[in-house]
Amino acid sequence: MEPAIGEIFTPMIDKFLMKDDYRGWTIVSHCLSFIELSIGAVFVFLAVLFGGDLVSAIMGSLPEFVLTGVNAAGAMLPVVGLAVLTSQLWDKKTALYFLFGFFLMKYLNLDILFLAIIAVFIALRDVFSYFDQRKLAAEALVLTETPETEEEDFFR
Amino acid sequence: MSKLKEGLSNDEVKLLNSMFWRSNNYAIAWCYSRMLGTSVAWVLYPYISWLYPDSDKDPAQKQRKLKVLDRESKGFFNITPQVAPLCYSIFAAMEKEAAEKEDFDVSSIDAVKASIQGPLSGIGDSIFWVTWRVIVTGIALPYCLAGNALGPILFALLFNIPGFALRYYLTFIGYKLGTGFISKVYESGLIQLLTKTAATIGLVMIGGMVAQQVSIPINLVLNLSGAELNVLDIFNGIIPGILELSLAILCLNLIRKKTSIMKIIFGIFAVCILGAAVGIF
Repeated sequence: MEPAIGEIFTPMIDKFLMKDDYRGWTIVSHCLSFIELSIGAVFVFLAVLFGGDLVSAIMGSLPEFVLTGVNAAGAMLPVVGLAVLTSQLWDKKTALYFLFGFFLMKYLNLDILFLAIIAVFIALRDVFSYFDQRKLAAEALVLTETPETEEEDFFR
Repeated sequence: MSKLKEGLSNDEVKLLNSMFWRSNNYAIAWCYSRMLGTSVAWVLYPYISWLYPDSDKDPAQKQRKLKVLDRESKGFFNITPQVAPLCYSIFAAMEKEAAEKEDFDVSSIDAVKASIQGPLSGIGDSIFWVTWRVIVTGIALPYCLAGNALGPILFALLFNIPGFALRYYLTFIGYKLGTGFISKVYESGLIQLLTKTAATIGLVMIGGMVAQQVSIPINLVLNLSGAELNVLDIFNGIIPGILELSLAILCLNLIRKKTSIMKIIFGIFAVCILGAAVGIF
């Protein structure tokens, strides 16, 4: 059930933050942490106190599809946070890199650190080409300027 | 120790100390959709308040402060706890730059956030949770087997003292790295290049994280006149991960169309529970 609890509390937490109500925000955030961390402990405590039958009876009272559904949602939910991050970086040209990272990971199942190394090399290529272009532009500037001065010298 | 705090004002040292203490509560308000995301705002709160000191009186400044808090709390963030303070203090340094310079491109902060969490976690996990934990277990285990109460205590101390020391140092190191590097880049006019580079790395990393951490556990087997067809295998046979990719693109489009994130999240819940009732999951 854990995925559901976090998502129910989070909009409330954000509301406090957006009113800049620091006290309220802190209290609700800590409540959420407390509830999340104590769920497991409460169930274990009940199981020790009354025996495992009671816990399985409680779990059994919920229809099974609810639990399966909530767990499936838990497996999908990280996509929302990642999509928020992506939306802030979105730009049609760089969007391709998202697909690049996705397929590299899906097909090769790389270590995340190795993926970062590949990403750094790709990004460095951009950096180098930027500096090359700047250098070329500077050289072009020099080329267009120097003949004039030479001519002036010549005529003097 | 004194070298660590060199060049920082008293206020900053105080704030970084408070960030160190706050970063121990890094799992505050954990939720599946952004994991440690809210903790960024929690750790940075005193620092951001310091950057916008007149937010009580000046509504324009308050607006900016809330915008910063909004941006910092809503992204996805997940990292090894021992290296997390490095990120928090780099974000703090970048926020400082953003508060001082009007034309600072704030998307570079998100780009950095997206790109450093994965590799840092990779390094942190392999040092702390793979190597150091095994070594410490090896040291403490003989005491535990002998029934000596020293065993677990020794384990806790040996595992945590280097961890907490690292957290403390990284808070300061990250801040210095951030302020020094960012302002240098800013002065040389390369901030756009930095943003672009960080966005490239960040997007590759996000793509990788979607592939790694998001899954759509479809558990449906069709029975077509005796032939059994696993639906998940069919989809993955077309392109591996096509479902996850479509979900990510769908979410992205909804967010870009300004659909509220809460609606998306509860939409996912509704689809999943209905799907489970029908037998898809």
